[in-house]
Amino acid sequence: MKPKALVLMTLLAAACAWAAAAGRTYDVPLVGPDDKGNLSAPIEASHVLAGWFTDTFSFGTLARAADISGSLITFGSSAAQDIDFISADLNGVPLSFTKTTSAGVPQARERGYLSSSPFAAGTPLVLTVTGLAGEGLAAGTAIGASYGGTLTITPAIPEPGTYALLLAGLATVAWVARRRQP
Amino acid sequence: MKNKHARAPSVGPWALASALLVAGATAAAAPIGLLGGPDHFTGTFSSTRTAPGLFEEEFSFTGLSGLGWVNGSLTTNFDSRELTSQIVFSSVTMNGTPFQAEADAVDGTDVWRMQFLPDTLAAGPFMVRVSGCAGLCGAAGQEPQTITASYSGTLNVRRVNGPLPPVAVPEPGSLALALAALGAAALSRRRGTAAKTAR
Repeated sequence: MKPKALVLMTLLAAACAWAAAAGRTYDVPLVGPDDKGNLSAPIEASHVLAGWFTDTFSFGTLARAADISGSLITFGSSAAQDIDFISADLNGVPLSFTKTTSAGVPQARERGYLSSSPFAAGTPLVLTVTGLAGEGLAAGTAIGASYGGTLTITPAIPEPGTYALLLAGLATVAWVARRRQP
Repeated sequence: MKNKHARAPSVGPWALASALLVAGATAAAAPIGLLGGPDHFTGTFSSTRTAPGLFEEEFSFTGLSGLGWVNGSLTTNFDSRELTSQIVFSSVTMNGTPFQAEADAVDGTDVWRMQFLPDTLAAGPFMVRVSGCAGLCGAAGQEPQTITASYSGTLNVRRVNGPLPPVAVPEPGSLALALAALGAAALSRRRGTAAKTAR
């Protein structure tokens, strides 16, 4: 092979690897708020090229303080046709993972858990998911693998101080009512 | 993460009730084009329920109509302090084959429900049908008019090219052994009967 062709091919391979590793950015509109102020959103991502990826999901800005929990899931029937989650976080709060063998394929079933965590109002919410699609295959090889997930947003529960204030108010009302009785 | 596989409050009776009830009209989501190829395809599906109560939704996948090995997954999560974000799955199937439900994962007030479809041979077109209930689902409390409860899932298809993998056929040796065993059984029966008659 001519040196020029070799250089060209190396560049092409590097470009492919970069493209495969780049991942995608998704704008996911939150559904809600409902009658109780909750919001929710499903997460979906497919990978048809093998390689490392970093996907980002932007959910917009949180209108009020909230507790947010979430889930991720993927399943593959062979190492070459599945997603291996490496890490995921919502604005830096990490998800934990459990991975189990299915039909002899290690880490075929992967689940991600975001436990309820507080987020301040005005925060732009960004979920970042990094992983490997099609383990053992050359970057850019055609595969079919995907993952899903959900984000559940509930308005922040009032702090103990708020409750104390409420109780004090109620007590005052009760006291006034008692005094008014003849 | 602690207590990950503890059981959440039982939803068994409700799941049964909703399975027995005749659900209303099935909502068909827009067809989902499978991505990838030539041999491996993938697709995702999801829904956010904004009205409480029973639901049945169909997700049809286009782009591959032949035989394929199909597998999939499904997830939802909610905070048990706010049951209006809850999804209870009563039946999840791909072309009639049910997904396998895992025990609820629990951490504090958080609950995760997940299901998997192990490799299943099916003829396309492929369709996932999800039925269940969203919101309080029979739990005590005032059901609001609107809710937000999401679920999301994946489907992978490995196209079957050429003839199907052969079904295991017993070797001639094993067949001969089975015949010999049958013969021995028949013989011992005969001998037993003969001995009884002689007595």
